[in-house]
Amino acid sequence: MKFAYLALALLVMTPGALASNKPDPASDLKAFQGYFLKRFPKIPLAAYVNGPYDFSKSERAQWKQIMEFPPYQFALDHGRKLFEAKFPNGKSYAACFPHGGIGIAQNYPMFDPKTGRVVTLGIAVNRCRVANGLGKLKLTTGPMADILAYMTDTSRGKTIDVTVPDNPKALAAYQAGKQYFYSRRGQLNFSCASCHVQAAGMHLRGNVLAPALGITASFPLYRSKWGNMGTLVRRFIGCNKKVRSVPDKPDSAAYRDLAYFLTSMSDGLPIAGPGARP
Amino acid sequence: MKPIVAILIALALPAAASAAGATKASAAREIALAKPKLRVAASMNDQWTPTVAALKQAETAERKGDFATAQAKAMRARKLAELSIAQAMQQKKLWVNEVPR
Repeated sequence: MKFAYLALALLVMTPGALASNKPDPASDLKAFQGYFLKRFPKIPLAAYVNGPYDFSKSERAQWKQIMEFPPYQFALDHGRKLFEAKFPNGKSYAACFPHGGIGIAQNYPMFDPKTGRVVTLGIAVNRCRVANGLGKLKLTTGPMADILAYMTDTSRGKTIDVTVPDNPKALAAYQAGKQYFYSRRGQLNFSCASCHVQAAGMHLRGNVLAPALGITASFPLYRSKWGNMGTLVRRFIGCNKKVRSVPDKPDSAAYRDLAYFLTSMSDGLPIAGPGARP
Repeated sequence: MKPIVAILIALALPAAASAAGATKASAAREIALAKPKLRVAASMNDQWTPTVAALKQAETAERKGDFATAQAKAMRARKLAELSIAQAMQQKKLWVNEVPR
């Protein structure tokens, strides 16, 4: 009987089983970025932050014209004013973040060992507000998107550096985000990867699908379709609805973990936000 | 072509017949059967928007006294919820196949 258990254990502990059970962000990063670099050899790694504009000459030409007067400029100016404004207690956002909140966006989302949860920059801004006696802002658009636009702009060009510490809860959050990204959902049976990995660079009606690599680097962004600014979580909600899946709450663990995994897959790429998209 | 039409009619008939004979009690029963399935789908983080819409339509129809519509929509909601539950169960194993290696 002991031999039977041993044989069963050996069968289960195949290299494949071990690989799928133990989260390994470093290996994932290498495979993820390698996949895109091999598939699109003419696109350099850093250029992936341009999203769909690497795949369509006409859209790229339009984008360059649009960027002569960036459509997010008003949001950027408003975000700066909001960021620098004093709270009723005399403090400001700068007091809540290292380096006064300047040039730190490339490190978010980050794992908070105290709560055991992933914290996006938007959630960190809301934490700051609550700590200073203010209410939370909506995480999808409006003043939050403007504040994030300003904070992200101060990180423009800095390389994304989202580290997953060797902490069981951090690794579990990373793995949950990874599973969410690759799981098909909704009545249309699509995963995030269906569009942004397998169909990256292809057309979905009039739109070119941006590759998942570098996709978070331009958020928050001004989308012509929206006519205003939106955060990454707004895009998550939109994608979920498109595949006929009920979206999660903006501050849900599912979206935090998804942002954590997805951003960590763009480690080493430069921040290019706020951005502009069709 | 004819066999396909016959199969489609055969598939549509039971639902139409059951909805045609719908009563207040049968509509309420179908709605009651659908709700737990939707709760399971939600707990698996895989609720579909058409499922929620169908249940909402069923409840609206029930309030208006249109029990045939209420019953048909509730049945649709339950079936959609069952499909989403099956999808979520399958994806627990299948998601790894989409990971680039």
